Amino acid sequence: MSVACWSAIRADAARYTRTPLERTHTAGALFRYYGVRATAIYRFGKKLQRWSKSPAVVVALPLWPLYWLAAAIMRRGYGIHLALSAHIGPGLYIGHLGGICLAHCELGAQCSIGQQTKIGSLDGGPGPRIGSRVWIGAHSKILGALVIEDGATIGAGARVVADVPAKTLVMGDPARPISRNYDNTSLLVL
Amino acid sequence: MSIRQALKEDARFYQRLRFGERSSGILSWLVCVTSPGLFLLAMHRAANAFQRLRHTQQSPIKRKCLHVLLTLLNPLLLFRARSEITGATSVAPGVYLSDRGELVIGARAIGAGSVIHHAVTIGMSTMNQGTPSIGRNVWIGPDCVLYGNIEIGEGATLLPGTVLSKSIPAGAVVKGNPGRIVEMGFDNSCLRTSLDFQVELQALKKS
Repeated sequence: MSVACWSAIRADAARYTRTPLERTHTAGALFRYYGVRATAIYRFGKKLQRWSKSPAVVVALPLWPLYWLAAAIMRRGYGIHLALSAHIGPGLYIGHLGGICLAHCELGAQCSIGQQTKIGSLDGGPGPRIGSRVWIGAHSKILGALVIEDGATIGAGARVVADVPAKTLVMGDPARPISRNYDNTSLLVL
Repeated sequence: MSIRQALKEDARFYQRLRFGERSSGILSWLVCVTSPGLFLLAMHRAANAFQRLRHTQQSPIKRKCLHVLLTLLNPLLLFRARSEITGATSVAPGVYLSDRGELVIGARAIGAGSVIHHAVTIGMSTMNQGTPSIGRNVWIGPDCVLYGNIEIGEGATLLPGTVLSKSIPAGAVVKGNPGRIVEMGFDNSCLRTSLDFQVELQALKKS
């Protein structure tokens, strides 16, 4: 379990350093990029959550205040709030800081999110389910029980109100599909 | 114009926005010390000068030292102002960047007398690698996004929540997502004299 946590942080770091996984210097990336720190703190909290449901709760209990402090610094100092109610796959890239809130959602692997993105549920119920390799632009809002499939692209400032099929580019308020077959690999490596 | 003179101009602009025409030495000093936006501007001007110096500096050791200094300055800025601004942006003296932070600025240039409120993103579109150039006396409301190789004309007004990826002429008022011009020839000097813009926006809505 601990190995799974560290490999996810390594996958995050590889997104920032743009190097192959085996050549990624994770400690350096943790020092250098606040986005890697934010996701590492989130994954640490998820691990504590898992430990708390097993006999390892003895280890987890004294570590919870450490998580709370680190998460509070991330929230107040950088404006990056990754709640533990979110399920985030390995390889998350956070472009810039400020106003990011992820809660009650499922995010696949190798996603990118911009600043001021709000992803969550409207009434505390189920939130959006987002596939892998999705690029979510700055200032976009994805609220409610929506399904966004693999390889979709959410443009900057979009307010998503309907399900988004795979490989589709949506933009605007409310979001409308602009292109049905949009390749976002060039955006994801940026 | 030197960095010090430019910062003096900025401090004067901040003071005018916050306190109107009332001004005193102590008050301006207080504004300089407490304002995160002014701290952001000061750090940006220093970083910009360093960056220019780094290109002209011949010795590789000196260049490396300046690079380390720049990277050490950055976290300080992130914590105090909660904003990011690239060193390549040329910011004219006398600009207001929001004290409430959450700005991400990668503009080519920002003209004198411009007011940029909080949670504004100015950056490049990934299709063409250009960045916006903002003219003089532009008012950008909170929660705006500007991207792509565009020109914002002199005295333009961007109402809160605008997403803009096209060039707009001088004196235009832009609104919505995607941004559309709703009025031309609007004088935004009333917006740029104070930070409280509710009354002015109400008046604009009626006209």
